[in-house]
Amino acid sequence: MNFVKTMLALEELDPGERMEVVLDEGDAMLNVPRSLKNEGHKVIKVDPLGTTFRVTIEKG
Amino acid sequence: MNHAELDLAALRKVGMIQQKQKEYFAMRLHAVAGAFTSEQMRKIAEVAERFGRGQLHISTRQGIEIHYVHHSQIESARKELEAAGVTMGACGPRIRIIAGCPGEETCRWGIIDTHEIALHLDREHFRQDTPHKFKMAVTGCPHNCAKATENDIGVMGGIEPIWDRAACSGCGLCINICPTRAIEKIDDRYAINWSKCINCSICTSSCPVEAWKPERRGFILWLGGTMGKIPRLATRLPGLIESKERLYVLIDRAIEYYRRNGRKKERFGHMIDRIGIDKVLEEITDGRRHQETNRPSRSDVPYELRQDHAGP
Repeated sequence: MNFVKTMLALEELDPGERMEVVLDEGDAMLNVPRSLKNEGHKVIKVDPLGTTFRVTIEKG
Repeated sequence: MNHAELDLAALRKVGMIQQKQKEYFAMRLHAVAGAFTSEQMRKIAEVAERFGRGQLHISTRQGIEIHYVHHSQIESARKELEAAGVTMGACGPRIRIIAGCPGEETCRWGIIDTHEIALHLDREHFRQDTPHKFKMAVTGCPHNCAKATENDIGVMGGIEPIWDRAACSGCGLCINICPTRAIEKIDDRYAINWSKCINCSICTSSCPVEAWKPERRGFILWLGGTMGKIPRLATRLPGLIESKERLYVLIDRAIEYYRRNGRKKERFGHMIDRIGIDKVLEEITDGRRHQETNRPSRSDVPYELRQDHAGP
């Protein structure tokens, strides 16, 4: 669901624009950044917040 | 002939296993890394219906067994299967069928061609006698789906990552995503603690700018794993073996060592514990246990002195 929600939110952006998502540790962090990379988007920054991570993404 | 006159040990050698109901046999079939074609599956099902009771069992080693085949029928059933290229498996003190994951052909994480390795091991070693049962598995990466660490010999694909300073954007994803926290930021560079790295490729596949790249890819050799009565996880041979030929030589030597030194009913791993891992590895690697790479292993270099970035 994380990836789907992230992709839907990215649709609202223009290429080059950025957004932040908060992902749980574990599967979400392992899968979402890689899937975004496959779709041509870029992870800009990862800030750990305990058991979650704030991930800044730039639309490709 | 009645069932009391059968040579059960000889039958076990070719995967024919007497059931509790002594006139019936389970036919344990051969497979390599669990690969079957639909045509073979259809034939197996047909034979199970004609010669058995339509009762099949999928084994823990990714093979198939046909149960309830009467002893007078096992030879006919075997011939019928052979016509479709399905042969018999093995039971008893010998090398069993090779288990394996789908590998790099279809799996996104796959680092090695598991089918190629498994086929080679099958051709070289399957059904050869050993002091006790001997099981081998080939798994594509350290996710270890084929449980290389639970087999007498396990082959696992792996990579050694290298950091490219020029490409790095400093996002910090790698530090947060490495499953063993092997990546650290030291001053202005990212470095790997080689004593923690498990060669899994999560960093290289996740890095958004390809700053982490696989510098080397190869095989991790696991020795002496066993489940069953006395479980023991396999011992890893240090380093990443890049040469397939060297991998095969090491496996040949490990099996030969086991044949020479293993006691009856003693699994390879328990033999290793009895004799001592250092002595066993010295012999199997021919004294080269710290050099299972084309150059000195990274894990021999002190952490602070390693060059983890490309360039001069």
